[in-house]
Amino acid sequence: MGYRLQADRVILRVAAAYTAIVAAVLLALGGAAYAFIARVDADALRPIIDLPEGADVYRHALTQAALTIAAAEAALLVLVALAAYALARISTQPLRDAREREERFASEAAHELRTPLARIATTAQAARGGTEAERAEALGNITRMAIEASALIGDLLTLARVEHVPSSLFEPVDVSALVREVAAEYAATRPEVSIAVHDGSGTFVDGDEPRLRRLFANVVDNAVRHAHASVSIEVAGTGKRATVAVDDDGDGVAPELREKIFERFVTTTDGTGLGLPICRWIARAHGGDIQVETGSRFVIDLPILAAEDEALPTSP
Amino acid sequence: MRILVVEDDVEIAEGVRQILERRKYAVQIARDGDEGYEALAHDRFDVAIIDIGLPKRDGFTVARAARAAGIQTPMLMLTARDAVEDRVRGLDAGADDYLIKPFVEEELHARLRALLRRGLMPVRERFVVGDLVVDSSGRTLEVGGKPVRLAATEFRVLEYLAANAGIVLSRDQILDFVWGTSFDGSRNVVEVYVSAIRRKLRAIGAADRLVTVWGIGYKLTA
Repeated sequence: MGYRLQADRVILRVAAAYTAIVAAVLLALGGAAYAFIARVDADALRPIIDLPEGADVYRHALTQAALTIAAAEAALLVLVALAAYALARISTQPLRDAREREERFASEAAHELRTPLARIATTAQAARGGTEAERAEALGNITRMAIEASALIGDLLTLARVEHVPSSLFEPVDVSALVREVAAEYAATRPEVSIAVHDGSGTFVDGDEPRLRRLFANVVDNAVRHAHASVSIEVAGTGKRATVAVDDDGDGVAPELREKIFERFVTTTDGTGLGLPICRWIARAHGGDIQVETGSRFVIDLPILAAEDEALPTSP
Repeated sequence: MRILVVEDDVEIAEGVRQILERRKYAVQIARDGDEGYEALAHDRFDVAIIDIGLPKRDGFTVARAARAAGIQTPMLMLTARDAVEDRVRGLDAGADDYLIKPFVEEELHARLRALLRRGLMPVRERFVVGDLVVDSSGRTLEVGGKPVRLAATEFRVLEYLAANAGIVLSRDQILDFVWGTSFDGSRNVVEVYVSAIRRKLRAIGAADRLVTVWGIGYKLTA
């Protein structure tokens, strides 16, 4: 992979830069040491330095000093270079890991996005020769798939950024009404599956409506896709919590996967593996959570938003 | 009903035009920010639908400029699903609501109906109730000079109460005006919204301004 080569080059460059700096310092120190030794030797040999033997001794001593300094510096430099390389590797490890995760995320994301686009293109082409009714159905499907693809992009960005939703966008959301809407929407995707909604009317939470819609849509979509014949949804507001339980008569999630399915790109079927991580993120951003209780029963709980006073008659 | 659509993408603009014309709205399309602003400034529309990414000037700038010029046309911003920041910026720029695109037709019609009802309000830029100032065109609320941020529907509820300051409004009146007569959700939505607004007012010590009149309704007092 490309980033690996690039990362290696960066590490080498960093190590080389460290080494060059140390080399410059060592060279300067070595030069100073040599000059110092030359002066001390010159002082010591002053009485004989003008004789040919004296000059020889002096030259020899200087050569010795230069060689010793060079040898010591070379050894040090090798050590420094090795240490710098090791340090650069260790300190860039987290960055390289993050980079690797990003790259994997991007390639998996691209794959996920191609799927709905391919389905749209196929549906549109198939509808060309169809009857009026078939074309109308195809158009409906294309609309739904396009909106799903766009939602998927939203999901990907949401997961990549894990951005904070400012509370100024929060407002009371009628969970029962929202769940009913979502259920009606997804009932159309598999008409052979029946969806029953049992709700405690007027259960409100304080939240970001588009995000909550996404949360319920993901869970209901999941249930409708895995159901054999029926999906049951219960909305309840008890005390301080609003709960939405979505159950289907499908095979359910194996016990060892119940936590794992909330991780990115973990999927047991043809799903994207993004839906449930998104759900967990949204639920937690609203002060709640989502869990698999039994095989196919998903329970979302959120802090309830109660009216402060309920003393009004229905009609004045 | 006349609707201005400010959208540079030809396909989307035409699509929205067809969707709206099916419901008998009269649609005018502006292709960039400048054209959109000119249309808003010189013509009367019941609602403007404004995309964010526009040539010449973006949707935020158009909304802000229109509000600064005292133009009261209700504005609906088109934003992307993931762009939380765009939604906040749109409301801050004076837009009344946002619609996440791509959208389903019914969603667009529901938002439009809510905005059209708001258009029935007395045309006034500011409602001053004691030290509580509701700026309709800027879509801001200040209490004693301190800004309070409200979400889109919360603002419509408060604005309606402010427009009728001192008068008790029944739950059904608020329900009909803000949510429309065809609303079929839970009827205690009004109580929940009033409580939510009151909570935000409480943060700056002004919760007592929104009074519950037992057995009758709610009013905003000075």
